[in-house]
Amino acid sequence: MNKLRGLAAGLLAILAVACGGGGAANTAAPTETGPVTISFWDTNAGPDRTPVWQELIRRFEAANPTITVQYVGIPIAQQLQKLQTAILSGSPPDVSNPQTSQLAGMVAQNGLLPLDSQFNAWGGKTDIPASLIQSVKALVPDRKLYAIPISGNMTTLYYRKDWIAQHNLKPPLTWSDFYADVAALNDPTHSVYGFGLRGGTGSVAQLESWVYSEAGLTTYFDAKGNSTFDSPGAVSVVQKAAAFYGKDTPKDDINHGYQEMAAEFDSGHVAMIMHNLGSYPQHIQALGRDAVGAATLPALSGGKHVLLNSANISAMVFKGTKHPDAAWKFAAFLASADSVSYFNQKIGQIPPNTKVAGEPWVQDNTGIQNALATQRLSTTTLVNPPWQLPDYASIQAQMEPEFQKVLLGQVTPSTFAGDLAGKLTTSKHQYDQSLHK
Amino acid sequence: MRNQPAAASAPRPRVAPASDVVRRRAAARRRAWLPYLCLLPASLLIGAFVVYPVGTVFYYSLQQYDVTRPYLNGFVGLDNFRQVMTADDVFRASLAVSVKWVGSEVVLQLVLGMALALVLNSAFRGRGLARSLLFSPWAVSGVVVTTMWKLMYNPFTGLLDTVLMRVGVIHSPIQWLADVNTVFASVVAAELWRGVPFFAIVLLAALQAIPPDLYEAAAVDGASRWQAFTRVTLPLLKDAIVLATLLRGVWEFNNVDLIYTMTAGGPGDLTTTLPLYVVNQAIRYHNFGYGSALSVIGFLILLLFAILYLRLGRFGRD
Repeated sequence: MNKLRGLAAGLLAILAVACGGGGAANTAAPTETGPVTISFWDTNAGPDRTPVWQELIRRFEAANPTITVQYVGIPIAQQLQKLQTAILSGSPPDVSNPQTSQLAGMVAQNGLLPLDSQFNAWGGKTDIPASLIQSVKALVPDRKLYAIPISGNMTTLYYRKDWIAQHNLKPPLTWSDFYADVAALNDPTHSVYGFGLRGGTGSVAQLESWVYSEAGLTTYFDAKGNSTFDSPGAVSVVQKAAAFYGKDTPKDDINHGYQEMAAEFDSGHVAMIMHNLGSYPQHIQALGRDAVGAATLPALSGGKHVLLNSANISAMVFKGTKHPDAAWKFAAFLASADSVSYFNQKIGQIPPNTKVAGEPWVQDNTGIQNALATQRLSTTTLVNPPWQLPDYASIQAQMEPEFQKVLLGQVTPSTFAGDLAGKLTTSKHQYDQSLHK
Repeated sequence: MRNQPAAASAPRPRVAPASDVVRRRAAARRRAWLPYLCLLPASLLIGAFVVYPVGTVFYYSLQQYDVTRPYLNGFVGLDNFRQVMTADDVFRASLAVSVKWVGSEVVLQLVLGMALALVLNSAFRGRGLARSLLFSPWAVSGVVVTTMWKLMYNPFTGLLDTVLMRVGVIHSPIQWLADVNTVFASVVAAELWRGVPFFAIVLLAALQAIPPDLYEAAAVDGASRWQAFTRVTLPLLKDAIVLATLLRGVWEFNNVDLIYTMTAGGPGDLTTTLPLYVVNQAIRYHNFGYGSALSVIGFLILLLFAILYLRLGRFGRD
């Protein structure tokens, strides 16, 4: 009997070890005063940004020797699904840097820690514009603060300034000049195209910026809560984008996400692309400052701009953290003026921090200056995408294969626009109803 | 000596004391438990890592479970299945792509793998090196295969277009992964490169188990090489072929890594297989309930396929 008991105990012990995988070490929560290790998931890892985060982590660890930050880099195309799956499986990071456009979805999953009390007691609070904090709070139903902005952005039209000059063209500052430039610079026989279209991952988000700006639509939903994406103006822009494909763009663009699109521009195969400020340093490094123009999306014929607001990169602390104090300390460090200055200077985006706004590097960055100047114009209308809808990013992802079908001619632009508008309208109505339950 | 009755002469069975009987019964009971105890670890592991996850998928297939719309979550009965069967065009398209994908991959891998195995089974100089080199693609991960083939398919810098243009076969680059006419075949070719060695390994092992006497007897009877192949080799490879094609069929049906990283199922839905559609629904769009219903349907399709295939292939029977 004793032998049997021993055998059973041994087998169960082996099983426990096999299943546990050293879980004891993971579950033992060190005290906050002792050495602590927290994880940080970078949602846009790559050769350009990973070293920047690693330097910030090095600075943080030097100032906080009892806290070790474990860096985990995730490619941008997979970051949303990785984070949402991690929340679902109860194994999220302690801190991450997603965009505020993802905030509502993660709050709906009950995955984030509210930071109001820590933020209100934080010394760096006054460096971040109160209006920006309010706009972040407005994205979630309980109006709590779950994200501290560390980098602002704006959709940007990158163009080959040198080619425009060589061909005696006007810079694409209005939509009519944009179309004229694309046609003039298009030269498929030499593998050079007027425009690089994003047809793969992230295509619909990029398309929305283009559509709202060129169609001059100033709201996402009408008074009845119906999406405006199927309005005649919006459908007309989708038609123009589809007409570009294969004629003024490489055919391979249908599969291109950000990286492939940027590589196409940097290798001199396309004259223009639409992206955000974040790729500016990469383009001038590849082509030189004199070759790259960076402007906001073009103006309408009367000089008026309609621009979609871009989401901020933000520091977020996850509910599953076992070290909320250390996690907040790191999040606050990332949102501090010094970190914001260093990070945004390296990646070429807008520092959402009043202390940093006047620094010389901000004045020297053409892309940022153009974006800020256009935003300040009285003729510019800034439109907020419906980031408050928790499934907004999912809807955009669902519509990406449909946009490819538009480019292939399998689906008409009006069907596509109607489908996207229908999904957004349904989502808004469901979300609004949930708030009144 | 006077004969005594047998019963009287035989030793009388010893009547065990009551304590012995109890002890023996207890030992017998313990022995009866032993097999179950030995099976316990495996059962627990199978329960934790197979039964529970599969059961969870069945459970969620009856739920509306979308992590980005928690206010709609709840039991919906067979609604997910109803929607899949009646209102989901992408499901039907993805199932058709899956059938095309599995059919083309398994048939082509079998034919090419057989040819490779026959070559490697013959004696020639450098056979060991040739075997090692030809089997190496099998060890390469899907993501690495994707990277390699995407570089070759690149219309600006890729090897394929460059070579074809230099030899004058084409005059402008072919957009292998963007053209509706070439994208499916391009992905099939990349997977073929990785999958052929599997068949070659399995068939080579089976070929080496065929006794040479059978070929000698066939030669004595005047059989040609083709007749020896069809009358000796193929019948003796039957079980290996049935098993390898079944395994490969199931693996290719479930293949996600290579297609996902190469085309993400696009352009449009041209390379979206059923498992890839499940990944999109559950992981990209966070609709786990609907994704689970699709998984259950895929599971039932594979189960039916495996049962029919083994029966029709008379696996293990002469």
